[in-house]
Amino acid sequence: VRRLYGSSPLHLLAHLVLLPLCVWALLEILGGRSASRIALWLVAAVIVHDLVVLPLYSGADRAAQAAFRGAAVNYVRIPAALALLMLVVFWATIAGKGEAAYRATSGETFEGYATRWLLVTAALFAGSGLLYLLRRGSRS
Amino acid sequence: MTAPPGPFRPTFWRSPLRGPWLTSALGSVLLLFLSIVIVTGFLSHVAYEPNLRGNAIVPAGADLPLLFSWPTGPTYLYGVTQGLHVNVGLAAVPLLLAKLWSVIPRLWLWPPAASLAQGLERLSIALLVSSAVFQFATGIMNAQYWYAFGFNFVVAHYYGAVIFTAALALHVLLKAPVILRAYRERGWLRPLRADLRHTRPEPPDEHGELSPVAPAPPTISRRGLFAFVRSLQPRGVLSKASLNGDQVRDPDAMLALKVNGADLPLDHGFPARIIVPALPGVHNTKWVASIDFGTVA
Repeated sequence: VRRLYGSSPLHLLAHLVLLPLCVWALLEILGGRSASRIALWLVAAVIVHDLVVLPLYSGADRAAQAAFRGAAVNYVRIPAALALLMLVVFWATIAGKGEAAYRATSGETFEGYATRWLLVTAALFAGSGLLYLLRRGSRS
Repeated sequence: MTAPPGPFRPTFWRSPLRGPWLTSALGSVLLLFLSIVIVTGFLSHVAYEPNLRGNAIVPAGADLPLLFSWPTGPTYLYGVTQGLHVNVGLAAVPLLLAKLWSVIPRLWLWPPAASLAQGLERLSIALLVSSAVFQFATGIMNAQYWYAFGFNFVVAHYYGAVIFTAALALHVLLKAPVILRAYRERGWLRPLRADLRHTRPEPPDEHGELSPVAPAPPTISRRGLFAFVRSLQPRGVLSKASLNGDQVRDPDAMLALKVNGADLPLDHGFPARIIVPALPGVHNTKWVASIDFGTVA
């Protein structure tokens, strides 16, 4: 088996047990409603992450590393990453995308999240800058 | 066959932090988080009692067998399990991104598959990454009431979870020896003790797993990376529904007509609302017009 297959029989067995479960779920999706949209989202998920998002933030990080010397890049990299991640994860709330559905179910509105995100971002960079000055001051 | 230039060449990947130990450590913490998210997710499916008449959103009979019927206590049962599902899931986002970043050189293997075994494993990894990003994207959008996907969230998130859980179990099973070897060779926590000045690339390994062959000087320590990923973690349409026997008979189950001595407000279900302990909120039907009693399905 090893020469023909390229790994241990256990490797093959694990695939034969667990992959059919994935195939069953995929077939249920393809046989159900909005099959093509779900399939599109599944394929887009891996492409968008591996070929768009990751190269984009790696490229931005490399540019930041070129602009700042050594570990100083962390004072920009960390607040920027925190702010960006918050923006991406809570985009639906910050941009008010879920507002209509939320109002219909609860009668409440969500407002002011974009301002709050801007304030948090400003605070992150301010804190990072302050830390940089303090550490540089204590070193010299 | 030499690799084409660019990401297919090992020298392209220069981060000095990547290596089997880092991926194992990120993966171990992530696995802990994901286990909670997976269990609480499937518990929600059970809580909706999809076997009872009119309750199924995932087509009836096309789901995995339910192992028990949802209890009515403790009253906070649904709140706690689903609070964990959403919050642990959100907290896992930075870990997932860091874990995927740590293994990205493996996407660019040359040749793409050297054997049947590797081809099969890479197919299962494609399913794992795709379903992971899909589950997180749809879950995060749904939690914020953003229904822009154009498909039924419950159905897609359920089957997505089946693909994700099976592919994850397969991945953990196959990688267990690599993870254990990394911990044995490099220490469970030893690489976290090094500050930036003492951060060294992981030694090259004979399996060409992840260690960089041409590492750049480090700009952040491994513990710095972990602290960064951890710092991102926060602390903290249904018109009818069927109830199971325990839910109907529970002493705290009621048809509520008043709240705090006043008639129910219209928003809260006037003239009458079902209240059952530990029941998903949307199954506590508002504006009750009729009730039937009968046998399952």
